[in-house]
Amino acid sequence: MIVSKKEIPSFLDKLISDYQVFAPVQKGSYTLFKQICSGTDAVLDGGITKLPVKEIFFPQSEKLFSYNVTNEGAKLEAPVDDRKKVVFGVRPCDARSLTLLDNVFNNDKYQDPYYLTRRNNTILVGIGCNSPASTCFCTSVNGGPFDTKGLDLLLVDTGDAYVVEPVSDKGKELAEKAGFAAASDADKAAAAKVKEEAVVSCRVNTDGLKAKLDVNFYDPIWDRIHEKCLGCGACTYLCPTCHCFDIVDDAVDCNGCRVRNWDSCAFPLFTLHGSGHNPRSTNKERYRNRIMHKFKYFVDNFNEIACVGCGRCIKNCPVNMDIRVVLEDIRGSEARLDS
Amino acid sequence: MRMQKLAAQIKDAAKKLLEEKKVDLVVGFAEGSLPLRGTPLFARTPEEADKLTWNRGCENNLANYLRKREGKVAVVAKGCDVRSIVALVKENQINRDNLYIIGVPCSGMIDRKKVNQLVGGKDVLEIEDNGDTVVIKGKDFSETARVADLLHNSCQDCRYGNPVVYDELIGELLPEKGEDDFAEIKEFEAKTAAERRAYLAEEFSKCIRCYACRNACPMCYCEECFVDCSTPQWIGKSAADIQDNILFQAVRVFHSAGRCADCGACERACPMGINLRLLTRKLVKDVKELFNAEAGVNMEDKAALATFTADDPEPFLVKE
Amino acid sequence: MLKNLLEYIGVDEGRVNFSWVSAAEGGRFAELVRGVTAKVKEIGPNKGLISSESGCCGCKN
Repeated sequence: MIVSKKEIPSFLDKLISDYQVFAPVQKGSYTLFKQICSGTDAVLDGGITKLPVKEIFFPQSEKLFSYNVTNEGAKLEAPVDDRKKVVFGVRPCDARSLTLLDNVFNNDKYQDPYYLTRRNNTILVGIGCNSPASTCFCTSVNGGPFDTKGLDLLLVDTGDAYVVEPVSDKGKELAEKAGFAAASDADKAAAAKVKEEAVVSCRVNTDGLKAKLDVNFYDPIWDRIHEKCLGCGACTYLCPTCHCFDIVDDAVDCNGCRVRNWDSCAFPLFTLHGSGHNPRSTNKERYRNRIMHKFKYFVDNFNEIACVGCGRCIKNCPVNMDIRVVLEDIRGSEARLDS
Repeated sequence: MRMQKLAAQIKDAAKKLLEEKKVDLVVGFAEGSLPLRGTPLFARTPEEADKLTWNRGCENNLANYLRKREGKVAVVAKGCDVRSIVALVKENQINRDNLYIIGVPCSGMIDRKKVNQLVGGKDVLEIEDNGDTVVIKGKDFSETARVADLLHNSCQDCRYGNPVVYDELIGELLPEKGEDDFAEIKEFEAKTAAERRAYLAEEFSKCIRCYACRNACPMCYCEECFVDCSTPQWIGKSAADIQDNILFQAVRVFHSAGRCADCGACERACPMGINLRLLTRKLVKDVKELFNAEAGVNMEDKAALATFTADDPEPFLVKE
Repeated sequence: MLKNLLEYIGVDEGRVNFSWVSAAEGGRFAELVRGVTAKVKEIGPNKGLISSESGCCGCKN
């Protein structure tokens, strides 16, 4: 199927009457996923959004329930957001991050109703990346600029139009309902050419990384590697796969909410015990945890690396702490740091 | 060329200090992984010092890494780094006797956000520094721009590019600049309260509470920041509440009143591009106007808010 | 400076008041407080820095 770029706003407008539609919108010098009221608000050629798509499913601050206490007793309200949603213009790395988060929020031991309800009620329409950025390394972590994992529909930008490729039944249904025209052989060839020409030039070698992390918890390399890290949460909050959270009560008098907020392993409060003891008391342990969680613990638990290679942490770190360099230092060349 | 020369001189100075065992550690900049990006480097051997460099992307305030250090440390410091160091020495966070300052006169660092804006968000692969101009190169474009137009706002406002204190100077001192006029602060003051509220609400709706501003600030070193404290909980923890985001920043900037060297580290660190210096500079301006004081410009002055004189102005008292 | 900053970020002018009163000056204290309360009453209820309808955690509760 194929849809011309000119038709996209009216297509989105039609969707808006049936769904909550989220798409990248311009905010200053970057784009963010926001719910849109008009199809013309969507900015589809702006590269990856500043914040990852996870915030739609796992918001930075989410009310789990609210309560109020009166003379008649306590009342509890636990709303679960089950509105139907379409997220339009997701990049393949972000879509894949959701399949990784599914492991955490939907497994044998625990199913998170807040995340899962949103996930089940959402259709993800992706746009492939014709010109991956120099900080993108999706192909090194089992992804790709036209990877379809996690998506329901994939659009391939062929210049004036998008070639529409259904991935799931949900996506197929949506595309059929929209009545997109059939793609000609020439269109299909154009899409194939675009895919072929999109090269992710940055490679991050993860061979042997896991084996190293299995044994290097006490390695002196950790004494040095974190040194320039400021301990802020920019990388974790901008990361599409970081998912640690902290639950707090926000209360005024007899009314309150229990809120789930994003947490970051970079913060001193992370894993601080009520006793005052903190097993990750310095930046060293906290930075080690970030690397271990993504490249060892997550692999142990779910057999996948918790990184999709989007490059957000690389671009936004205030001190240019580059995860590619860190991994390379850990993986191969201990000598580089210990010489 | 000038930059390469400075880089070579810095390298030599650092190697000499390490070889002669005058210091145990040199904190400086290495070539980063992005175009025109310096990244903090901790060199403990002459070989490691070989990675030291100097370019228009050495934007971090290295004073942040010097508090409560063991042993003898040398630092490669720009004007703003030195001002923060001076302020920290006065607060007993840095022992001046154990610190060797390799001062580098600085005419400003390039703001990658401005570079990005100039090329319309296209992927920048290389930035070639030609002195007064730079050539920004990407996959299918190349654009020349004036360095002066791309400097960080804090660098454009900076009057202290020359280090005020140093043990060794690399390169030559730069000509003095005129007084800072705080034009944008005055402009904001002139707006109505409703306009100011609206602007700040919009800015702080972007805040994700990652605390990069706080952690990048050399003067923010409380053992426990008031936002992290949970008993009592001074402030809501959710980023969704814009008022709390503003309050966080208001308290932070007030705490650095008279201590802030206006290095701009907070604004540079902010991944969401919030105009933080609109708040920090309000206090820099007020401290200057009320007490004729600036943070860290010499070793003698006491911190403005830690001193009392009988003729301190009191414009804030209720008039009777 | 705090007053300057608070008014700068949009707290209504006149809502923040400082004075210096000795413990011996009871009459002056009462007078000042009366003046301040009258002033604040005139300004009306504090709607906060931004007029949001959000609840305790910004959740529109």
